[in-house]
Amino acid sequence: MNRKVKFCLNGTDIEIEVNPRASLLDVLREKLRLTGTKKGCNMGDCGACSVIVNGKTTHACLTPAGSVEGKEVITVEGLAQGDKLHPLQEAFIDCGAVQCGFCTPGMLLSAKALLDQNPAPDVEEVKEALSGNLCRCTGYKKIVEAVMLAADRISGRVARSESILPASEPGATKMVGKRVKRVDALEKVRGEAIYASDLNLEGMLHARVLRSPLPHARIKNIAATEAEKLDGVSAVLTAKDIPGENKIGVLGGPFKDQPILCSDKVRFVGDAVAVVAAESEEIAAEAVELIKVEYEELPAVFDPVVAMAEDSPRIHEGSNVVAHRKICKGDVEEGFRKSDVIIEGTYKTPFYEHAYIEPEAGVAEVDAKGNITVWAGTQFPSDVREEVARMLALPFNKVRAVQTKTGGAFGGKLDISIHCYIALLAFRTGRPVKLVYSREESIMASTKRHPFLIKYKTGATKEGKLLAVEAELIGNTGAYLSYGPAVLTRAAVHATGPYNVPNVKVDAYTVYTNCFIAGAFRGFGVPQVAIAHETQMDKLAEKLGMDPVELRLKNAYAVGSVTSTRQLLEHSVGLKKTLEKAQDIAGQWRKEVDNKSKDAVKKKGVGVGVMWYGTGNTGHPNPSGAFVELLDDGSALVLTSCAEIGQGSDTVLAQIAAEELGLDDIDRVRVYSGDTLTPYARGTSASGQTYITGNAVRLAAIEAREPLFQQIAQDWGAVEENLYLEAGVICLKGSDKKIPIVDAIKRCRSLGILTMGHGSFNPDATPLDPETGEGKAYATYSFATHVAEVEVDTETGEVTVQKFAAVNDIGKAINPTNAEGQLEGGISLGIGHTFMEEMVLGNKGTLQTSSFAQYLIPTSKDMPSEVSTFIVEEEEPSGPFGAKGLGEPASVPVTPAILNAIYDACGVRITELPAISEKVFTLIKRGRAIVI
Amino acid sequence: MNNDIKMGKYILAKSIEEALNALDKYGEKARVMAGSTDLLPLMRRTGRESEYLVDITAIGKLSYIKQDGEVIKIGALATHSDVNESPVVKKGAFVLAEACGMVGSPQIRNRGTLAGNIMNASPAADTAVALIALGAEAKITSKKGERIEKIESIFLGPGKTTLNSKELITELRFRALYPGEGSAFCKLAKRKGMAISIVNAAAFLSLDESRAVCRDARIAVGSVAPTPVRVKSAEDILTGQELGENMIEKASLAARDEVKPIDDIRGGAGYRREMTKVLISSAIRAATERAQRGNNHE
Ligand SMILES: Cc1cc2nc3c(=O)[nH]c(=O)nc-3n(C[C@H](O)[C@H](O)[C@H](O)COP(=O)(O)OP(=O)(O)OC[C@H]3O[C@@H](n4cnc5c(N)ncnc54)[C@H](O)[C@@H]3O)c2cc1C
Ligand code: FES
Ligand code: FES
Repeated sequence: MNRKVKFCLNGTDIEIEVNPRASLLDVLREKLRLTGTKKGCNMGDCGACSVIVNGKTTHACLTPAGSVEGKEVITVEGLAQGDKLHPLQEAFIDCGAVQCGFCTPGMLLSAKALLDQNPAPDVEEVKEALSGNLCRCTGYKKIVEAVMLAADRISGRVARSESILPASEPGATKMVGKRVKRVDALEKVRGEAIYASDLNLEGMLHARVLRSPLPHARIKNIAATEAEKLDGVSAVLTAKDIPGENKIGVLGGPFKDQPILCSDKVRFVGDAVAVVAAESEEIAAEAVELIKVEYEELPAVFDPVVAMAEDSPRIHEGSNVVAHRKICKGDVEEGFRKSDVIIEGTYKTPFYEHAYIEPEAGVAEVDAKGNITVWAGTQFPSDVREEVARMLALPFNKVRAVQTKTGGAFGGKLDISIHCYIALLAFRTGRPVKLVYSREESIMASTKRHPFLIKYKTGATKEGKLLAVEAELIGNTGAYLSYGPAVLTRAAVHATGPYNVPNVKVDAYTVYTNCFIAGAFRGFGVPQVAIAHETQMDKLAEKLGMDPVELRLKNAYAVGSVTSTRQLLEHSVGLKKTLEKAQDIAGQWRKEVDNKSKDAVKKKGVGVGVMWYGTGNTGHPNPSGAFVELLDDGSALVLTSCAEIGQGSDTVLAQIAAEELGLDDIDRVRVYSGDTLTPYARGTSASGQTYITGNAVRLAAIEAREPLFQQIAQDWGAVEENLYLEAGVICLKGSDKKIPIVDAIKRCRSLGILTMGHGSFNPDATPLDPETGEGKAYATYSFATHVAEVEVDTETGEVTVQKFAAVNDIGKAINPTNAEGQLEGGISLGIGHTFMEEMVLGNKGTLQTSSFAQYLIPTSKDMPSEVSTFIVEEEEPSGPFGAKGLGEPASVPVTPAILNAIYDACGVRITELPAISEKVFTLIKRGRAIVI
Repeated sequence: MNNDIKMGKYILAKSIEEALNALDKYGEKARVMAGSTDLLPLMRRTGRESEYLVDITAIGKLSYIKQDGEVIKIGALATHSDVNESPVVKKGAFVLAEACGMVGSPQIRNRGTLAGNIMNASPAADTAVALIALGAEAKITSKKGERIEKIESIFLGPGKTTLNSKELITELRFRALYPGEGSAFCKLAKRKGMAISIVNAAAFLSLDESRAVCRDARIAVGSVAPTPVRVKSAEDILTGQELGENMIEKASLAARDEVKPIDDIRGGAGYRREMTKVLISSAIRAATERAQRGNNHE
């Protein structure tokens, strides 16, 4: 029953009528429409809902509205005074502490509560104060720096205007390479950025999905009448209500294997069977309970090795082994025969959850003309458009996908999630429909990283020259493919690591099971193989008595190397530079490590991990397009469907356009992205947006300015090639002729000439031969070497990463702050994957890790006390200003470096992840037993 | 009392009496709610809501932390943050300040109460082992009157205590440590921030005038049985003995052999057993050192 509650909200006394049992979070978001406070879990586990109540940071999701009677509540909306930002908000922008922004409001409030009580905290105190606020993107480093900076500014220890960013070189006006502030940071720190769950349309219905409780079963009957009869229910839909294709799959073509709604069979616990739209979430939830589905349970299989057997239960029509990618170069048998040493190893990785803090959400609406719009978080708006159109049997141009601010994705929002359900419901009911997954549903239904079982054999000479690599990779793709075969292909291509190996044989199998769906996850199979090849390299170094970095340097790719798909690397191979830098760092750290006291409980060690990563899709076309228009006042519009998911593409694309257009103020460029009414763009994946969409924008910008150059050259009687743009002025080489760009535009307009351009770019790659894998897998590659120093508590098996350094060759860093942010976030992801993350299925295929209380991701306190990042800029000629990819390379070498450091510290090889303390402890004990 | 009807199913009690009346009236249908950091997630997870929620957070006078002579008294609404920051507790019962400081996250500590931590009766409850080591008691109030129960005997199993639905914990109390006594809390978890214990342990030691011989010991471990438990075998080994690595080893080995943990998602039984030994010896060591230093602070 509702009741009046009086409290002070952001300095204003208010009285509202609410259900006192409702959470303060729901009251803020639904009743007061203050959507800056975010819901990431509704269970107290993520901190996205943090507000300040009576001076203390508190979870709004765990605060009953009735209990705030008479209290003082501050939300993110109360931080700024009009246009004047709170010093914390300013510092978050200045330090680059904002990426996807979903954790930002909660972070700001926890930080404010700290600074209000303790104006001069130290780093440890800041980490402690933020330890209840999960961030999946940033790795916390810049957030902690921002809080420290704000503290200094508030107390006057540094002047407000004092920039913490290194000054750019005098005279340099170029936008590329500059630490430009993120174009979306302001709205994010103000809590004004609109994520899909913040949307509220007039007359909107709320949806809910009925999911299978069984891992494998035939659907015998679905009875929906009870649900339909429930007051407030508008529609209960099943597969038969889908007018078009009931098949989705991001790889397209024969790889579309996932029903939007299952009709004959369910294949994992969480498979969708029916959807409901109702007047409220509560009614929709109740209606779902009333749908009765009759199942006939089928034998299920969860282990991919078992699933590969001929007599194993079939998950789809054909064999469970859906794809077999082969790479074959030279003669491995011969290679092993010639080898002086052979190292073998088996490696196992688990399912990982992306754990973006924003659960999947969206709203769909059909207009009077039958056009349908889907607003939702996604990494791939163009694919949303196409899948929805196919499902509804509509022409693609009648469907518009608009990407709302996306609160982290990491590969998990490339696939269709809520999109088809809401579109179908909106189409059938004629009303707007909203669907927001709970954290539990998000974990259950979204894709995961493929668990790999890797058998690896390396052969080398006694001098340490690699002669042969043979690897078998089995990837568990779960119930549906998603990106499965592409993940296994990329893994196969990268399986040797960035090392010259004359003889290679790789077999990679994509296997169906009744587990959840595995898809893309920041690395696409490469993190898994990197664990194997880097452990192998360390084992080899040990056996040969060589320094591990020396061994790698000896075999490292350089310009002129030929990969295992027989691709000649022609340029931009900065691997050795990363290795050399890492060698310095590792050497320094090793010197400082003191493990002399034999019986010390805590042992330290240093390890390195290396990776290479091809930018863009493997051997497949994946083009992006863009439009650029230069407007009368000299400002510019950039249009592309490229999805900004927190990684910073909007900012980088703005910088690229500004650079080409000679604009020296980022605010003169507006990037309008993620909307399919703009040109097609590939999904935000494979670390390709800077390289691919960046190139498209660059080409569009060049075309947009082209008429200006033509006209002015003609006016000046000069050659167009001699014109250049600087700081908003067109100049002529070797002369003092100048015209401000605005005047040049005016001049063109007076002649009826518009200044706009389009661009598209497709990376230069060729399909791989099905038998040998031969082909140009990628247009360009990034390289990295990471270094970890760990301390192992040999009594408990607990491992602490104390220092971490990432050295990445990313080509030109368009925005160094963004690049560091990617690296720091990649490090935290790797730390989570190494030590604590693992999706666990019970024996009936039910989820044991369905919340953030069980699926743990790193907090601020789990990050090393020292994190340093180094960027090697080995420029890629085909990239925009020399750029290549970074997002995934940021994370790939983290686990290998840590695992090698653990071995260095205590002699324990972790070959099965995660390295939870129990496992480390058990292995240490076992090792001791052997010694005794 | 008619207020209740108008207030529907949520009762924001303004006094102990009001809370007790509501509990008495609705019995099994009612549930006390304090910081709601356990209760709300539980209700959401299971979909089972109590018909009457009796929110006691507006009973201002229950947030106290004070020392009455030798006895430290903590009101039922004192939060983990309150206790962690309390000079009285830091001085007189460091183990409890330590445990409260390691509960969940700042947000959880700012809302979660010690009484709620006890009443939630999780085998892993961090403050429970600290309170057991302190020999703490709970003051339990109902319309029928008051009773006192030792924390160590309050737990019946996961989520179960000796309290009935009409009873309220109003206070936790224990004797403050004397000079020559020391206490410590240790916790092992899967990550460094915001995590439930795989195993936790607390130790209280009282040394004789020589500051070498253990006169009395109370040692508790969590997450190794259906409830937090006292490990008498370890206490018996220490009592009357001179404290040294040898004794500590013996005591912690005895504790390891006494506990009967299970496998779950946070850890296997074997590991928990071994960690019981490690954590108990760390706790004893830290407590001894504090006792010998004469103040029981860090
Ligand atoms: C993210 C997260 C992290 C956590 N981390 C930890 C941790 O590290 N260690 C740990 O021990 N716990 C942890 N918890 C659990 C929880 O926060 C604590 O148990 C907390 O102390 C519960 O107190 P509360 O006031 O919130 O209790 P509530 O949720 O309000 O109540 C819990 C139970 O106690 C009863 N109750 C409350 N007060 C009284 C009273 N005075 N008299 C009678 N019954 C009462 C309620 O009816 C209910 O059954 C965590 C919880 C979350 C959500
Ligand atoms: S939404 Fe409240 S903690 Fe996650
Ligand atoms: S920026 Fe923190 S979760 Fe994305």
